Amino acid sequence: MQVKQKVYELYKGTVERVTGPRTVSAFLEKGVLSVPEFILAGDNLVAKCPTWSWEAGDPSKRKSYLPADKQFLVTRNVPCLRRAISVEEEYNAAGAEVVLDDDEDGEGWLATHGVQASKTEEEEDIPSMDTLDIGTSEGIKSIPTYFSGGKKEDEEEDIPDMDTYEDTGDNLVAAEPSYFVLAEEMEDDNILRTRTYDVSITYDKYYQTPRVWLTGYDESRMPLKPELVFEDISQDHARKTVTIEDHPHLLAGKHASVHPCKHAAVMKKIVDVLVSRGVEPEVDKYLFIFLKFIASVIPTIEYDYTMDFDLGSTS
Amino acid sequence: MAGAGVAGFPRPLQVQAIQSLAEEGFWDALRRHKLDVLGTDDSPLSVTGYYTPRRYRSSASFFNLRSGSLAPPSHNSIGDRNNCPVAGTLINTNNVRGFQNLDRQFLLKAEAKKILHDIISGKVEEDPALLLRFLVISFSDLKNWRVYYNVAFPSLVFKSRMTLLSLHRASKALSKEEAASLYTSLQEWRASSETTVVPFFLVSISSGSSASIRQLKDWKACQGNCQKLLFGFYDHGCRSDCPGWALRNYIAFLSIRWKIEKVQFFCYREQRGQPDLEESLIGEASFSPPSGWDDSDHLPEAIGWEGVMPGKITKEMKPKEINLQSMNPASQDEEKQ
Repeated sequence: MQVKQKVYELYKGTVERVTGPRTVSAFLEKGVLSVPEFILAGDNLVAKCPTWSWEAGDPSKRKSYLPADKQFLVTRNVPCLRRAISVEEEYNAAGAEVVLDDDEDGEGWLATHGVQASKTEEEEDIPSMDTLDIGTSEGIKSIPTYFSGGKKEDEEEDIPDMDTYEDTGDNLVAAEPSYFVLAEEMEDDNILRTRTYDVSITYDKYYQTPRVWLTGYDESRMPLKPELVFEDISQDHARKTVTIEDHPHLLAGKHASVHPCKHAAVMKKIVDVLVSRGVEPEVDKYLFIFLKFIASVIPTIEYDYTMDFDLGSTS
Repeated sequence: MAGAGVAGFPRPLQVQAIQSLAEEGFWDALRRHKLDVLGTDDSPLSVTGYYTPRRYRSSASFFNLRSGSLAPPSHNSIGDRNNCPVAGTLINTNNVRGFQNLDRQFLLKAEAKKILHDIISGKVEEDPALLLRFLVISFSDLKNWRVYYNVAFPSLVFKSRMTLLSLHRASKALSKEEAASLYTSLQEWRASSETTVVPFFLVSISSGSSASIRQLKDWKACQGNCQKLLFGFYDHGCRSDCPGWALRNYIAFLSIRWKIEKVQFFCYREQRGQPDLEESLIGEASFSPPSGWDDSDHLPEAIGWEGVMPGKITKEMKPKEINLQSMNPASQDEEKQ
């Protein structure tokens, strides 16, 4: 599988090198984006949804057909309050009455107020790692241990044993004067500890569409193993259209990506539906439509793509 | 109800701690830098962290370290609204013993001293992000593709109490007109590339309910000609019953530099990139002036090691551990077979 993927990437890379970037718009006919259209749509996304930013990425991975400071789009630390798989289970159990989108009533899971009321909900929404079972025991490990679940057991022995790490306590504040305690941080038991994701959008020159990448972090803000990312992907897509690969603009880490081979076809379908309703979508709205469609793949990652702003009390 | 469990006002000012989130890219960059440039040199490095106001109602925002973080702010970081660059120090030791033997409390105080120095010298007025200075200690075990580290956000400790006199949602504390005007001003502040990375600012509200936002260095000009003066800051926190971590050093600045003893502060928070006056807070705090801090030899008390609760016996300050094995070419070769 790995070899096949590498060969494929090599082929794709070659095609990308020898073919020029698309310059003529084929958005309405084919659902694809040219490079200037990607920039246009990206600028519009950043302007309307300011949690998104353009980024330069690693200079060694710079694509010459994109502006140096606009290599890809990213929105960081996006909360993911519950696992996609649990949403699907709830959906099945509740007979299709579960609202996927909590936006209408964001208060429901907010621990900052109504702690008592939200407590039970919270427990249902975020299954403990122990009870979660997606049929692959390998993917599920308790949070503290999965980092050490490396492939090579024998290597473990060479690692200096930080478990026996000792801190005498002399270094740290041991005896506190009484005034000191009053300024301490709050006990944050009431705060929801959620996974978060960095979601990035790159331009895939081969498919001439945007491509979405996910980098996950667990409840203690440590990188999430790519296998665990699959829990946050709709099970229709996990391990099928979502693969683990190197990021085209970042050097480090493995990132989950929604494979773009069907993107143009899906976008074309959505565009056709809109056109049949008499709405001809403008190409700078491409990413809003695209992200709405991607939300069906990653239903619980609450990144921003809406153009309707919640102005709160001042609206 | 949040807040219901907490005593009424006045009460001691408590703040929500901030958490760091270090991307693998940061540690990978350090790994390469150590191999290619540093060798066994373990002198402190100037690094850049990224701070933002809270962006989603469901969680506090984090303090980010990324692959570009391995350079001081002025050289590598073009700030944007989601990334206010903050200066920090990284101490990377050569071995486990060196890491374990670091005097954590002394290092924390030394960083706090830098903050105090920037407050006294007036540097903070020009570059308010200096109040957010941070510290990272690490040991990168290159052979085993692992890094052990701890992060601290030094916060000056007053000998006297900081007292919270009131705390309300901004939408409740302000009139409708004031809130609307403030909302517009905040949008402008955040949209301008010049000001969007400035996490501490002044909000002045005129008697005609019109709000304007100014830089800290304009404080003198602001006085007298406004009805209400709020000391605003980007608040990473998400709690309705207390402000975020940054307020502590902000108050230290206001007290030491401007000799203020009572302030109205404004905790700025966002919802999906827009000002969220429903969850932003306006409060009032009082504090008596600290003494002896002008003394250049004075090493201030400080708190701020991540995960360490001040006031509790903290023997268990375990390092965080990150596995970079996925970046090991050898392990990638193995996967292929």
